[in-house]
Amino acid sequence: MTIRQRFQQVFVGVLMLAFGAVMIAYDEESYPFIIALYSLALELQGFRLIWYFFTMARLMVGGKSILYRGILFIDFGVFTGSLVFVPQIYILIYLSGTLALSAMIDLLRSREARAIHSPWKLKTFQGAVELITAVICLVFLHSTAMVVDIFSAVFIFSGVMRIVSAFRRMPVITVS
Amino acid sequence: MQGDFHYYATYCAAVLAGYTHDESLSVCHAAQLVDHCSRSFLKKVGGPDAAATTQLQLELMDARTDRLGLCDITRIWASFHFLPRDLYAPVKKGSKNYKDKYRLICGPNGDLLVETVTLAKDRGLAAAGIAMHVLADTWAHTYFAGTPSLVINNTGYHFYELMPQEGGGFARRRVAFSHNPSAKEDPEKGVYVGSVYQSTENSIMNLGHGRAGHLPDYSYIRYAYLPAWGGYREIIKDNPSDYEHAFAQMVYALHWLRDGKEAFAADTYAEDVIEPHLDTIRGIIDRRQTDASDDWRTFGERLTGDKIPDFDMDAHVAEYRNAGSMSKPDTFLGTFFDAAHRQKSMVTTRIMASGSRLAGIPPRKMTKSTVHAVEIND
Repeated sequence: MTIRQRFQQVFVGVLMLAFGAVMIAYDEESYPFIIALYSLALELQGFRLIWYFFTMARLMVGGKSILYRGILFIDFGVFTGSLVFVPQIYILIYLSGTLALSAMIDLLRSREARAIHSPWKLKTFQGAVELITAVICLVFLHSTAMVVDIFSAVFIFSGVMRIVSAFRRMPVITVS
Repeated sequence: MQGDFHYYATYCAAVLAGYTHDESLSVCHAAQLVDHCSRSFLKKVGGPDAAATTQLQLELMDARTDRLGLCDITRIWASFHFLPRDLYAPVKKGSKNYKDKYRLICGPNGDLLVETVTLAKDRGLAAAGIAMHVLADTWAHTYFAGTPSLVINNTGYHFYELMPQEGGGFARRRVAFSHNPSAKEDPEKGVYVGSVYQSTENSIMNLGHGRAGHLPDYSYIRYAYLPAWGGYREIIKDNPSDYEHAFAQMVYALHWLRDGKEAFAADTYAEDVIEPHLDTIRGIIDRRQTDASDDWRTFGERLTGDKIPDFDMDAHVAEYRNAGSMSKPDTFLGTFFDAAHRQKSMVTTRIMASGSRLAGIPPRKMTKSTVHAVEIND
């Protein structure tokens, strides 16, 4: 990771901490804000991947997976954005579901990383925390204010993890 | 390639090309120093920053991957470790960025190799050593580019080692890449270390043959895989054959650097010179080991009857440090830095002249005269 990338990681991490704090302060009023932010992030990532596919990766072996990932990101982004118009209970179920999915992916990736002797503990910890949070959210579905607080905590947790990972050293295979 | 080939095998090639023991040691020391002359090393010895021929792990970890950072990385790795085979290779599809990266794919016997060896002519033993490093790597690092690129350098799950069978032919064994650099490689079980998949195009993990680990550096191995740029056509890399060609071409090139009158010719090998030693050379190359230093050393010492010392990167540092500013360029390291600078300048200029901005951004439209000026002043 370059110094600039580390700085970006820390910057995004600090922003997430600030968003978490704002969400705790505004409780239920911050639902549309959470949805909009989530939707925008997914769509931007999708467009970025599709642009990369058409300019570079379409000629690469296995490059179509990048196109599919881009389309999926946009699809999820649009779907997430449309949730502003449905009752909050469905939003909560959806957010909890995506959190659980993210947790499962993290846990599977940490398992894969462990099998190939890559760093895996931090990823496992992150996946476990996300999974527990998703379960707690489902348990407290009747209290929307409580769930917002839980999501805020997750946001703050992710921000801290991002800042921590910015200072971790990544293994590099050199070529000679 | 590693120290076994760049140091010990280069020594053997120099001896077979007619160099004395001491001259051969200077040539192979320079060839191996290319893998150690980082900015950290230059800072330690007080050498010019522009003469860097490699980047250490820590330097790479903090290397910038913005446009200027990429140019710096490409200048070093394309000039010394992944010499492009054809900067004007026809590419029908793809954006300009894709085409530029595709044209940096390394391979032997390109125009730049001829220029590399020619550039070292009459410039001393250090220059010859640098040229031999570049030449040898064109064989080992074929199919990979000296710039970070997922779409060029990535490798996938379709990666098999071809194991020679007793009755002839080869059996395929899937290569399992570990991504822990400190993990021990196990050639018997087919476990090798490679860099982690990174979906970011310009990630350092996608530089050179990082994704294929050190497989290109092992002389005994043959492997089949799908290179990212290859349009799903399987490529078989036959390292034993390539390493033998590299050795024979080094003997020819070193002989040409010493006595050559005609122009240096690509695709020419000193087969007649190595023929009496072919069984020994093939025995070393084919032996299943990740470091063939001892075998090459034994062969080299048998050729001259002299002892080959271990490589010591600090061997000429004191001479350089103690020399006055006027005599520094005449020291071994002084000639090495000058040759490295010239090589980097030549390759960078050629890449820029091909219309690519991956190694540098020309201040204005390149003309023949400006190309010459960049060569002199870079």
